[in-house]
Amino acid sequence: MLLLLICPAGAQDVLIPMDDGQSDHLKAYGAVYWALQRGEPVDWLLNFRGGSFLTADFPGLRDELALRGIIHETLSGTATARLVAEVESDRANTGLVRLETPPRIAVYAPQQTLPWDDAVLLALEYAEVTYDIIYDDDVLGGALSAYDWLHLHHEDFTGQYGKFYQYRNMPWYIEQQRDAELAAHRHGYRKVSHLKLLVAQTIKQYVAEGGFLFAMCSGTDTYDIALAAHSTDIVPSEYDGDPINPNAIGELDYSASLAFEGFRPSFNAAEYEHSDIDAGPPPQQFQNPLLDYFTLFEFSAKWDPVPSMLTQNHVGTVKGFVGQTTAFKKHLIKPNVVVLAEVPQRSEVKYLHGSYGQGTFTYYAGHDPEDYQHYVGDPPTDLSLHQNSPGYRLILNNILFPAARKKKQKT
Amino acid sequence: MISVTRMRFLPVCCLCVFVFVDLALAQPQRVNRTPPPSEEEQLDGHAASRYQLALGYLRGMQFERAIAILRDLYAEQPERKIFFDKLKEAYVDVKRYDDAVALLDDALTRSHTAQPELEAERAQLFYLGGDEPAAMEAWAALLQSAPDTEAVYRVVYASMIQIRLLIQAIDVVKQGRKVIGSMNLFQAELAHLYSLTGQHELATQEYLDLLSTNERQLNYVRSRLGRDLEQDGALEDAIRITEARVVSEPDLRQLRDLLAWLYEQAGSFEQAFEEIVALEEDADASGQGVYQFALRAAEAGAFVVAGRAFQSVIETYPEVNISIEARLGMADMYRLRAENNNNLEQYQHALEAYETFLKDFPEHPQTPVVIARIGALHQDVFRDQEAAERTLSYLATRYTNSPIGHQARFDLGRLAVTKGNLNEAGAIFARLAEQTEGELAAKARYEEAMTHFYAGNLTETESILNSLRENTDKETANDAIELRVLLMEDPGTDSTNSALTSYAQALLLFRQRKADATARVSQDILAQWGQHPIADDVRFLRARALLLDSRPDEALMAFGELPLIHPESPLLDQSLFYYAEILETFQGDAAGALQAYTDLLTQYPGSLLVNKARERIRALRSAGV
Repeated sequence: MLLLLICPAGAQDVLIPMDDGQSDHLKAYGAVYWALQRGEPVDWLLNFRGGSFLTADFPGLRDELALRGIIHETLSGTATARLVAEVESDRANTGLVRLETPPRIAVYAPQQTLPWDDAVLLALEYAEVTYDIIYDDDVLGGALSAYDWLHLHHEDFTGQYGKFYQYRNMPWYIEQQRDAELAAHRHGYRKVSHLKLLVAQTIKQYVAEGGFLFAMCSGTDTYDIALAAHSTDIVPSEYDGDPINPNAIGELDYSASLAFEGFRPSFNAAEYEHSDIDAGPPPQQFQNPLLDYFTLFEFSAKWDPVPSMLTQNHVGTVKGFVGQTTAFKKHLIKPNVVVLAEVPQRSEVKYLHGSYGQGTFTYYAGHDPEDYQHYVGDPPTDLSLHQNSPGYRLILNNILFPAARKKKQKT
Repeated sequence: MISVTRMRFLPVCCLCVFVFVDLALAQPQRVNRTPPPSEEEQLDGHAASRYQLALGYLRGMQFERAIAILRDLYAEQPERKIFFDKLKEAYVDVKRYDDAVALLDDALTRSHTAQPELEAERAQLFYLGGDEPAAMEAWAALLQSAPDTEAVYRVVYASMIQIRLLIQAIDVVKQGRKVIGSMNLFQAELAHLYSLTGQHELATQEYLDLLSTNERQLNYVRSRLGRDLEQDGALEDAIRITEARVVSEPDLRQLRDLLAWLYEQAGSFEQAFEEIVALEEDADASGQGVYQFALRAAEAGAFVVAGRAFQSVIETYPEVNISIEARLGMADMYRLRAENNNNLEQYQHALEAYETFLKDFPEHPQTPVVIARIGALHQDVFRDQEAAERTLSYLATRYTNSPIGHQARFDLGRLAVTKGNLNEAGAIFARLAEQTEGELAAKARYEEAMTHFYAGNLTETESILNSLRENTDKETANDAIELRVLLMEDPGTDSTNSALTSYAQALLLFRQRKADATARVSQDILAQWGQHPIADDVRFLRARALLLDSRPDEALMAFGELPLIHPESPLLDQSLFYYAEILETFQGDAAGALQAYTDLLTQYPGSLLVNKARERIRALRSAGV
């Protein structure tokens, strides 16, 4: 690997380039988080060399970057000034956002070990970013107020245990069902779907009050479905013992959901699908990791810094990946939602962002960006083999984005 | 509501059915070619078409229209089960639980026999309709109607678990046991319920009760428990409960057997072995149990306990055939343990065990493998060249055209290199490369090239390396590239390649583990051709030779001076890593080592050694350095 190590006399700043030359993009996010934890502000140079980072050359920084295997460049004060001027000039679609406070991160996940991986947990672990795991009791107990960022992954907020009905006799399913039922009973509910609805509504309130929500895979559509089904029963008897409401479709309240509207839940207990929001795996001829991809939109770094931050990458095209929720059907997305990435020529959206109240939500479809089709029981992805993963970068963009919240945005 | 009097008829009616079935089976069997018409087929044309229309409405989710038709059909022919069933289903589909209950009440009133299933379903409908007290009351009344009947408890239990009332179902089953007065009832059901509710200790207790009364249930219990054990904490609970039970009922072999199996599931092979031995002592044992355990333990990498198990078979059953296999297993365990911790004493035990085995059982089918292992130990561990040659020659001659014979010839070639017989080694490798294919052929070809290199025949070396470019495994390919790069170094004014051929000799000495000689020859090369392009390679070899010769201080200095003398050398990262390792291992200078590892990351971030360096940095940091 070609290395660029410039060490001028009197160096004052360190640039972490995030273009093709970076040896480990994912660890770089962790290093930025580490710097923020030490009270050192970091400038995110949007659209500049893949969304690079610039910070003061404080003691220990370069050793830490070396330890984490992150390529960096040291700059003199003059070089830094020239660089910042270039990034902030009107001639190019670049911009600078100052990151100041490390976001407090919570991942919504059960304590139970489930036979599939969670891409966000993998990314956080690999990038060495600290986080807490919280679940239903914590959310309902008011724990969310302690966090800036909440992540949902392969969760089922409709109370149908992920619609893994075919696995109902597996120990992990039995345990999952038992824990969920116990939690529901603890909170005074007969049905898990009622508990999950309350959790979903509590999270929505957290967003309304300024929280940042990031969801992946089935954590996206099931969250919206649960919110929309607040006054009906969409859960087949196989999961909750009684049938759906006969007029369940008519009773859906799309105004309660965040990103989607006009969708129809799937009432077939054996169908591994929650609704028609998910476009499903690509057509047969594209079901190939080499042919399946999605494209990121480019936003104005100066006028749209939020979507810009969320789409920073060293590539414009990212390889696709399948999940229980693989991509969102475009016509079911609410008009006020910003599309960040789409699947070309298929009217499908992979990545979206929107605001609700004082907070924001970001949905990213698919299960694991580096495992094209992750099956139940597959081993977790080893990210040390995917240090430059563009798909995982999109997840990590989200953890830094709340760090910029204190800065006054232009939009 | 069903009456107590009607319920008492149930066992009698069942008995009548059994008698009838029994008599029917006693008659000569007739072949019934046409099945009896279904209830639906028996409907008259008008009722059939209305019924079909109702089904169509149900499929189209037009429940109210379907219900209207079905209600009429049921009113006209209440004895038709399909009308009753479909109407009830339609009511439930639209959550009209009160109507469904009324329908059941009607059916129960019309019935002249006990209908516990309908009674239980009625209770279930109360529950689904949100009237929990009525549901509990209905179930209780049903149980009260036939408190001595096992089947009624089963019906209630089944209806409760359908709607996930698991705790209540447990109470019902326990009540049944108490009332009927048999603690052996519902053991499997209760165990399953306890498992579903995460009460693993109680589930295990039930399985153990089941096993206590019937040792033939061992496989069943294993299969049921095996499924539950994957739940968090289940295995630990099962072990704890079974341990206590074995203490209280030490004579029950099946409990001990189960405990051994549980220990194995937990990877506690030492504890499992104790149980296995105890089981063997108690029975007319053949040693098979211990031997099979030893194989499983070995497969799981528990070499120490596997060795003890093999030893136990050898000592306890010396006359049984498996003791022969156990002796081989024992030798393998010595070897595998030695490989794990590089223990020379264990290697010695392995060698002795293999040699004794060979002497005692020369015709054993595994003989060639045993000889090969002996040869490998002589050659690569004890470096006993004569013994290795004797063993490998025998193998190569006796098993000429087999893979084991080919490998022996390859090893003989290596041995010839070590002894300095380069012509002989070259001939062996050349023949082997001609006569075999695949990985071994490529390795032989590379080794042939090396023999020419050691001998100073650089042209021949290059020619053989060129023939290796295709069909070569990764490791051999990398070695070949490294050698080719060395040959391509600019010789400068050294037109006779004297420096390179001297370096080749030094490399041969190093391979022969003549560390002192390697260091001396390297020093001579440096004295004569200090500015030669390969001087960094020579200096690096010298440093390694000093380390091999247990001269860490000199080695440290040699590795340390390499970047000063050869700042452009591609060996600097490796040199720095050795430097750090010596500081850490021989000098006890953890802080210096930490700095050196960190320097490696900073100065050579693209090095293949960065991951190892990171590992060491993290280890040193966590040790408080």
